[in-house]
Amino acid sequence: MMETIALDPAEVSAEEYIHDNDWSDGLPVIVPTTDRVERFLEESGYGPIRNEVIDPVAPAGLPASVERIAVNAVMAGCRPEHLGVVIAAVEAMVKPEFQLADIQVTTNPATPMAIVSGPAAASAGLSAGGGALGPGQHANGPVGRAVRLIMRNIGGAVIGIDHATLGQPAKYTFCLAESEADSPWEPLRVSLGYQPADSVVIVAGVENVINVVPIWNRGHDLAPPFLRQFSRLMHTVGTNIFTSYGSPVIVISPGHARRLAEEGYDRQRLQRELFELGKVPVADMPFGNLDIAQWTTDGDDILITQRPEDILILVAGGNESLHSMYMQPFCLGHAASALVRPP
Amino acid sequence: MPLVQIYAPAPQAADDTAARVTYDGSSLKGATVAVINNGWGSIAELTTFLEKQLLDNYGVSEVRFFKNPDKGHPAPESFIAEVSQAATVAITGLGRCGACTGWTCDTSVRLAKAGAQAGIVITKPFEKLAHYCTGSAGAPEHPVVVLPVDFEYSDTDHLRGAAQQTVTELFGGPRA
Repeated sequence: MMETIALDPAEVSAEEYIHDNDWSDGLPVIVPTTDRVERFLEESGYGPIRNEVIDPVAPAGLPASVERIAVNAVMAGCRPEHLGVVIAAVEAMVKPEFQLADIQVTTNPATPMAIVSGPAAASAGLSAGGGALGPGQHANGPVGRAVRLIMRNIGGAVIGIDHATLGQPAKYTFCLAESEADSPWEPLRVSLGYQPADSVVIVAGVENVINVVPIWNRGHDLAPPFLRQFSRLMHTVGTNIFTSYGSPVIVISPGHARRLAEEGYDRQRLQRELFELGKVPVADMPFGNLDIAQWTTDGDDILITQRPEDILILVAGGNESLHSMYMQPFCLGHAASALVRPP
Repeated sequence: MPLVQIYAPAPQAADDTAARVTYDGSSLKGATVAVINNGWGSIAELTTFLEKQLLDNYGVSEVRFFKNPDKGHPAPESFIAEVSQAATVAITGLGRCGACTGWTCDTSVRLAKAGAQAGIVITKPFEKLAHYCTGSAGAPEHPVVVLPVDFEYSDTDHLRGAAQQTVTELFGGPRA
């Protein structure tokens, strides 16, 4: 059982106590009273496994029990139906390939992006539509925020341990769902080897979010300018000139996806062509940090990822065919995923 | 007014002091010292001065230089085994960014657990992180030498001074 802290409101408010212990992200939180957390656990259906412990969260190396995850989810403003997704996000983040320890302490503005693919997205009220990465009446904000609070409170990544030179706004919350209804392609989880009925959280380390508006003329195909503009972004060198190892994420709006599908593109063809176009000539790399740089070459070119399928492509966003997004990867780790376990 | 009962969102750390290690400077005489470069080119010149200090003033028989073969990730087990078989003392650096400070601590604590007298070299901004990482790894008293920020961009005299500071803090005064 978790320890209980008894606070005398005449001496200190719970909000002040939480702030003074550096348990918040700086924004107000929902106070995790014992009553509130117990009710949350019961209503989530995960109460019977509340003492189950997920692998330690780096760099603190402290255990993330389901009940401790629930405390942070309550603080983030989650509802009980969000808990399964938050647990899966934590289970994905602690997988070795994700290199959570690096994301937690790096000077880079890296943060996990949580992508929810499958029926659990709708059950949790997550948005895959317009404004999914912005504010709104959907679960994306609190679920992503819960992940960040867990990284701080269980993983220990408070300022001074989290060494981000500036950080970025996505470190507060960064979560969206895949839009299966608007996607002409198989769900991302199926491309990753999961079953269609599964629900999965995929976490990818992201450094920057870049909006892309491919410019093309009526009567011409979208694919050439789309691929050219995204591959140019992929030429941006990675983390401290580490490259070839991360998992770039491309979020394609439904409108763009429809056009690309009409032009004969599926996820795999996009991955193959971006993998080729994204290669960077070694001669184009900057010099200065080369001693610590690490990459994989193919002839005279540097690979952007190890394999084409490491480029994660999903459909989400508003229905117009104007904008898609590129998430520049944190190149020390690789995307990881975990099933959302039913309660 | 009734008390407000809350749960803490952060678990309490276990009191794990099993892996505490300390230096024994007297063991340097005749020892082989490993200097492990975790990737920063800027430590190369410093290690030249470290080698001279160790050979001239501490009776060290040999200084061997190693590079983590998997830059950007924790050192593989084979590397830890190779270094711990080759040397009884190991200095790892440089921690001058967040992630590389983490790898530096990880490598050094694992070498200590493998039996080496191990310590790390970092720069000032990463002091708190280094102590946090060594503490989380069960080695809260692991030796940490803190050099000034951006010391590697300074002149030769300052680099020589940084090497002097490193060996003095790790091993005390000259012992040869």
